[in-house]
Amino acid sequence: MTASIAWERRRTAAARFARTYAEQRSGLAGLVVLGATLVVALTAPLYITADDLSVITATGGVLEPPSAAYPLGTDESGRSVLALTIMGSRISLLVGVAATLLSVVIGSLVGMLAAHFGGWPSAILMRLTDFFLVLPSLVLAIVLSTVLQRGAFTIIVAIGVTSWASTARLVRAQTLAIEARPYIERAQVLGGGHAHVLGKHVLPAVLPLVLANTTLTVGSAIISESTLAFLGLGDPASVSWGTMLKAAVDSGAITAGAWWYLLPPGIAIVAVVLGFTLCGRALEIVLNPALAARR
Amino acid sequence: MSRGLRRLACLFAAMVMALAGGAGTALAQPPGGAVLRVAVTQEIDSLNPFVAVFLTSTQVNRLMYEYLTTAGPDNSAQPALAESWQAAPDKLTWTFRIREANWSDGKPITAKDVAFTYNQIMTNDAAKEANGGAVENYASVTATDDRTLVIVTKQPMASILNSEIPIVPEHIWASQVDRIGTLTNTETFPVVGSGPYVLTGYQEGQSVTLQANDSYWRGRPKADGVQLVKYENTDAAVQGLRKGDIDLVRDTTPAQFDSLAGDPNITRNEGRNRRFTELLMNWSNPSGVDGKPFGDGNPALKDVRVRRALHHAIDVNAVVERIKQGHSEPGYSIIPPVYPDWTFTPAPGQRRDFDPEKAKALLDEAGYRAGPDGKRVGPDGKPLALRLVSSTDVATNRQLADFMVGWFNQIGVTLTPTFKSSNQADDDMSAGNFDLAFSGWSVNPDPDPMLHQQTCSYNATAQSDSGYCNPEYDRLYAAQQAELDKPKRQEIVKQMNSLLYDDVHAVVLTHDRLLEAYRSDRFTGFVTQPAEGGVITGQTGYWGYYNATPVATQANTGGGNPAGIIAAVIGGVIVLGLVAFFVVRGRRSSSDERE
Repeated sequence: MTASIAWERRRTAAARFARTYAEQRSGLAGLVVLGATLVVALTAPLYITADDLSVITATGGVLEPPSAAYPLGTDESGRSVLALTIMGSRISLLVGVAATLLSVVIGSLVGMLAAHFGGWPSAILMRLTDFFLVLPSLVLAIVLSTVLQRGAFTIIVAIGVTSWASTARLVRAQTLAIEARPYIERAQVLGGGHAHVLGKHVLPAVLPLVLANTTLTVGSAIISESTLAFLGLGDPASVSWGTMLKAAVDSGAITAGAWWYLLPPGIAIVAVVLGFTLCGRALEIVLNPALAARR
Repeated sequence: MSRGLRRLACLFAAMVMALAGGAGTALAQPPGGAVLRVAVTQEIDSLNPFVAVFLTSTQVNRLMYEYLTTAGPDNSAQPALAESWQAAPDKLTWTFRIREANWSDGKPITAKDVAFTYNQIMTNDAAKEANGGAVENYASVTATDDRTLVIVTKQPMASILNSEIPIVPEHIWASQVDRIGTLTNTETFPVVGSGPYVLTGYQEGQSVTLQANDSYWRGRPKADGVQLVKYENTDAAVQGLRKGDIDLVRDTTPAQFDSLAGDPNITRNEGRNRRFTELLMNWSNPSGVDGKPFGDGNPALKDVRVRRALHHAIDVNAVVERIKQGHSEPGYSIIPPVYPDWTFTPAPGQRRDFDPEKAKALLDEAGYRAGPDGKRVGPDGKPLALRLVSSTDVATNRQLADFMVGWFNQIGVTLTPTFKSSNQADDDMSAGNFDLAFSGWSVNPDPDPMLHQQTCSYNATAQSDSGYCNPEYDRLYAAQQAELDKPKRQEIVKQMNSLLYDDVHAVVLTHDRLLEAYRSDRFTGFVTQPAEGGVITGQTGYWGYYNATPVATQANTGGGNPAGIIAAVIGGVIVLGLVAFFVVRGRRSSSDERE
C-alpha cells in the first residue's frame, strides 16, 4: 500500500518534471541533438567497417570535394570524412561523458564529505579543492596526458581529475544548506550514522543539482578532449573530432581550401557542446524554478 | 551564462581575433632594409658551430662561417677560405693557401684561425660533438705562416676537400676554449664571422636575425639581411607567405604547395633534395659494439629476418603516391639520387618489394607465429608489439605513421606511434630508447660523413642512426676513405650501400623533393643546388641565401584570400579559436631533421 503511494508520487513528480522540461524549447532542441548524436554513435559499427577507417584500404582520392560517393569529401589519405566524423563521435562522446562522470563523482564525494564532517577534514579537502581550482586545468591535463601512457583512458583521467574542483565547491554549499534543515537533525537524533545521513538524505537532495551540473560539464569535457587531441596528446590509434582537426591542419587542408574536412568535426563539436549546454540549462530551470522567474 | 556557453563565447571571440591577427605566431620585429624573412618549423639546438647538428642551426652556421672549401651550386668542391691547394705525392700531406680576407670585425683571416679551429676539434673533447668525425683521420693541422696551412692525414683521405667545418676566429674563441661545448654563441652580438651574413640577434623559439657582412670576401650580399622566423607548423607559415609576413617557406605539404599555384606574387620551387626519409630500427640492444645493454629497443629487431619482414610490409610506392602525392621517389640508399656518382639501386633480385605474404613467411621462419587473433607471438610467448617514435615538425609524419600502423597490422605486428618534439625525439634516438623511428638526414656531396655515421664508432652519439655495427662495413669504410681513385672508391661505396641494404640497417623510404615557395614580388635571383632543379634552402652551401636579390619596387604586400577559401576559414577558425583560447602550447617542438 505504502509502496504504491510512493510510486504514485514518483510518477506525478516525473510527469511534472517532463512537463516543465517540455516548456523549455531550447532544452528540447538540445535533447533532440543529443539523441540523434547518440543514435548515430551507437549504430556506427553497423555500417562503418574497419576498412573504411584504415588508410591502407582507402579508395578515395586525396582531399576530394564532396560527391555522391563521399558526401562530405575525403581526407588527405582518401578516407570518407563522413565516416570519420561519425566514428569520431564515439570517442568524443565516450571521453566527454566518462571524464565528466569521474569528475562529478570525485567532486560530489569531496564536497559532501567536506560539508558533512567540517573541522579539519573540511579544511584539508577544501584547500585541496582550492589547489585544483586555481591551477589552470588544461595545463594540468596536458602534463598528465604527457606523462601517462597514450590512450583514451589517459585522456579521461586527465580531464576527470582536473575538472572536479568547481563541482566540489557547489556540492559542499548545497550539502551545508541541506544539513541545516531540521529533518537531518531529526535523523541524527534518531541514531542515523554518517553513512545513513549522507546516503539516504543528503545525496538524494544534492543529486538534482549534480545532475544539472554534470550535463553542463560534459560540454567542457568534450571541448577539452578535442583540445588535447588537437595538441597531439590524444589517442593516436583512434579517430576523434579533435584528431581530425589536427590531421586537417597538419596536412595543409586549410590552406588547400578543403572546407569539407574542417567543417564537419568543427560543427559536430559545436552542436554537441551546445546540445549539452541547452539540456543542462533546461534542467537547472526545472529543478530551480526561481531561475526561470528571474529571466 | 553557464560554463559551456561561456567557453563557446570565448571560442568565437578567439576566432575573430585569429581572423584579424593571423595565425598566432609571435613575429619579431625585422631589422631595416630588404631582409629576407624565412619561415622555419624546426627548433634550434645551438648556434655554436662546434655543437649544432640540426638542419636549421647548421644552415645558420653556413651563413656565419666560411669553410676551407665549399660545395658549389654544382656540388663540386670550390675554393672558399682556401684559394688553392695541393696534395704531396705521399697523398697524406695537403697544403692550402689561405686567401686575403677579413673577419666581420675587420681583423684579417689567417691560417692560424683555421689551425686553431681544427686543433680544437681534434684535441678538445667538448668541441667534437658536431664535426668530430670529420677530423678523425687528421694527424696534424699546422699554420706555417699566416697564409699557409698544412694538413697531414693518417691515411689517404678522399673526402678532404668536402670537410665541412665552420672556421671560427681565434681572437674571439681562444679565451673561451674551456667552455667551448656549452657556449650558445649568442652571448654577445654581433657574432664575428666570415660568411655572407653576420648573426646579430637571436630570440629562442622565435627568430634568428642576420645582417649582411660588409667585409665578405665574395662581396656584400644584395639582401640587407636574413631573418629566420619560427612557426609552429607549415600551415601557419604558408598563410604568412600569402599575407606577406614572410618571404620564403620551405618543406610545405603537397596540399599546401598545390594551393599556392596561380598566386602571381608567389613562385614555387620543387627541388631535388639531398635528403632521405628513413624508418629507423633500433637493434642496438644489446649494443653491437660491446654487447652491453643499451637503450630499450625490442630484442626482436636483432633478427635480420624480422627487419626484412617489416620492410616487405611497407608499400613505398603508396608513400610516394598517396602521402607525398608524387613529389618524391622511392629510396634504397642513404646517398640520395641527387648525387648520381654515389647513390645506389639494388639489383632486381636483391630488392625487397611490398609483399605482405613474404613478410608473414619471414616472421614465421623467425619464430613469430600468428596467434588465433592474427597477432604475431614470439618464441618467448610475448606478442610482437613495437613502438614508433615520430617528431611533430615534419607535417606528413602523422599520416605516414597511420600507414605504418595499417601495414604492420596486416602482418600481425602491433605498432604504437608516439609523437614528440624534435628535441625529445632526438634524445630518444640518441639514447636508443625506441623500437622504430622516423628520421632523415641531409647528405653532403661527398658520401664520407654519411657513410661514417653507420660505423660502430658512431653508436650512442647524437648522430647515431639505428645502432648499426658491422665490422665488415667498418673495414669497407676505411678502404673507401683511403681510396683516391674515384671509380675504385665508387665500387667500394656501392658494396657498402649493398651491405647496408642487405642488413636492413634501416628502411630508407623515400627521397622527397623539397617543396619551397617564395614571394617573387620581394626577392628573386635564388641560386639552387644543384643549379638545375635543386633546392634554395637546406643546401650544402649558402648560394640560395647569398644570391637572393631584393626586387626594387614593392608593389603590394597585402595579398588576399581566394573567395573559395572563406568556408574553409570558418572551419579553420574553429581550430584557431580552440588554440587561441587554450593557448598553453609550451615549446612544442619540431624536428627529426638533423644534419
